[in-house]
Amino acid sequence: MSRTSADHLQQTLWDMQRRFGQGVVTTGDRLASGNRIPTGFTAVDAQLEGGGIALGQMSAVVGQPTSGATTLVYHLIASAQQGDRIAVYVDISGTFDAEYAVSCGVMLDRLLIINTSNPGRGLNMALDAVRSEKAALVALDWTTRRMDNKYLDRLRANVARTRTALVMLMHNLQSPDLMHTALILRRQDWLTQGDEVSGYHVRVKVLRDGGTERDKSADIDITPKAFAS
Amino acid sequence: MIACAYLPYLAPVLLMGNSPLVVVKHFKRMGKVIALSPDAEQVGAARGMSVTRARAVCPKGRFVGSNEPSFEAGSEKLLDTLWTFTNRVEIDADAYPHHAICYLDLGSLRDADACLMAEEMARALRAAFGVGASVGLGHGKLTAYLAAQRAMRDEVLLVEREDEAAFISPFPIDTLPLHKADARRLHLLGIQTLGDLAALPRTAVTASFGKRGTLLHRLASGLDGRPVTPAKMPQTESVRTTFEAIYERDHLDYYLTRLTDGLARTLDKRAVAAHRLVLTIHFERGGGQDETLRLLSPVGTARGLREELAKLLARISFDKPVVGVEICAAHLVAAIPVQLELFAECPVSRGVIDLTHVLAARYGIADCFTASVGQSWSLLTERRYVQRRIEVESDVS
Repeated sequence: MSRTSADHLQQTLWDMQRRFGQGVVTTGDRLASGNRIPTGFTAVDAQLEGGGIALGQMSAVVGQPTSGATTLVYHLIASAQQGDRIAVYVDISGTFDAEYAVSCGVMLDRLLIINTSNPGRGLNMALDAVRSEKAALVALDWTTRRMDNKYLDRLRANVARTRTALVMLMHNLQSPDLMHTALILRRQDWLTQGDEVSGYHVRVKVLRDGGTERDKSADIDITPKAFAS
Repeated sequence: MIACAYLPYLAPVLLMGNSPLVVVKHFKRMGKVIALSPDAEQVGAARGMSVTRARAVCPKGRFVGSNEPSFEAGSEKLLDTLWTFTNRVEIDADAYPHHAICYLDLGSLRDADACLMAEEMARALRAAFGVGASVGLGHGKLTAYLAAQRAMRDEVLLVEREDEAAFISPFPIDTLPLHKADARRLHLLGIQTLGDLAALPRTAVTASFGKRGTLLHRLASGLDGRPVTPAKMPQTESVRTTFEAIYERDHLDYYLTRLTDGLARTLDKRAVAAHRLVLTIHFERGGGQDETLRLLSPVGTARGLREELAKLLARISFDKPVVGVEICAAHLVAAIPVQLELFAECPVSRGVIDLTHVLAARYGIADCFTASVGQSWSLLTERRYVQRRIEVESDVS
């Protein structure tokens, strides 16, 4: 396929996804993997076993501010909302940005936001949301503090019996052994158009996947309007 | 645009009676007349007159003190009536309770809209006090006041900006806020009207009267920049009730619901919401317990108040019979109008509501939110989307 045709195809896919929603176009092997939620970034999905993060498992998305970690979680939520399913965002740090979430494809009417400043309460509510199995994905924004390992172990044990994916958004990775998938994002450089910053280039390191250690990485560009790289 | 609502001879309206009325204020050394009825004025009594002299000229008059509770109640009633139009209301303290002169800052309202509002104002004042009020509209307090004086009762008079100087020029110089000495000097100089003063060079007036002369000249020229100094709205609203000793939480909930509904109605009437709630429980044989809750988002609805009070109630232990309860809504702020959100709200998915039900059964609905479009036209990101509590019936109180 010529370079121009590939560009055209990419543009068409992008337009279709923006118009009809994320997940409207997917690859054949993705359809077979019903127990995975794609990240929405093709390059990252290619590095993950089954093309996404696993349902019934606890995963971690780790990154400092402006590393793209929150963006990746929003894309995961958008993917999880396909097929009329809902997602939960436990916003302990109080930083949920609805406008940016919408630009990442999140459907607000299918998102329950648990907004609490009490971490223990947020954790328990996240656990109950997972146990109820009503949501496809529960994202736990745990960027403000460190979590005790016994709680992480408890979370993992509860998630294992469900069809819900639990995604921990963290600044620093804790207890990698307990994570089914661990993605570490690091900003490489800023993308500019003329004098203005239009986004940033991120390296996503797949530290763990499928419960075992990996050492893969993928490069993605995050721009305000980009849907997938 | 500034409106001036003028209710002449308010004191006899507030203190009903047939005999001539004289309101006196007692100072340390001597009392002075501060308000009177028209019939007392006819027999020679006047404001500022000493009480002794007033008794001499009006022996049949009814003399009352300025600390009469009716005057304070009248002032509150006046403010309550006018606060429905704007929260920037100033009552001229020097004139009250002889006349009620109230200034309202209507912002940049258009002339036609201001006239409509002023007509409503006159109607509201007649309904509240049973007497007609005149309302003047102008771009300065002086113009608005003079327009209100010129207008008949129940009438509205608007003075347009370009006509202000011409409108006020024939009024006597005494309408300005003058010191006695300044008034005497102006009369000696043969300056009788505002027009006469405005015709003088400003520098000459300043040279003769100092800084105060500059202000007087500006006022006489129709350049009144004095702002409306709004009276402070009471920052708390409270409701309380007492009852025979009760021992069960359910009974207390019943009284709390009634009180909350009443408080919500009061807050709604004032278009305010509370940032802080204080719940006080009085126990039998004296003693009580109060709990305070600071709210990040102000609450003014009955449902919202009930939810927050449930949190407060959970902190109080009921080991003694309860005989009274009081709810105080403090740190009141203007409630955000909700009518603009009617069409922006998109229905929440059934799955989200079901999950909220599950969580509400254990934790209540206090932490369960959905995001939706707010002021999508706003330049501020935080206003374009708003988070709202998901309204489901919680089994937890």
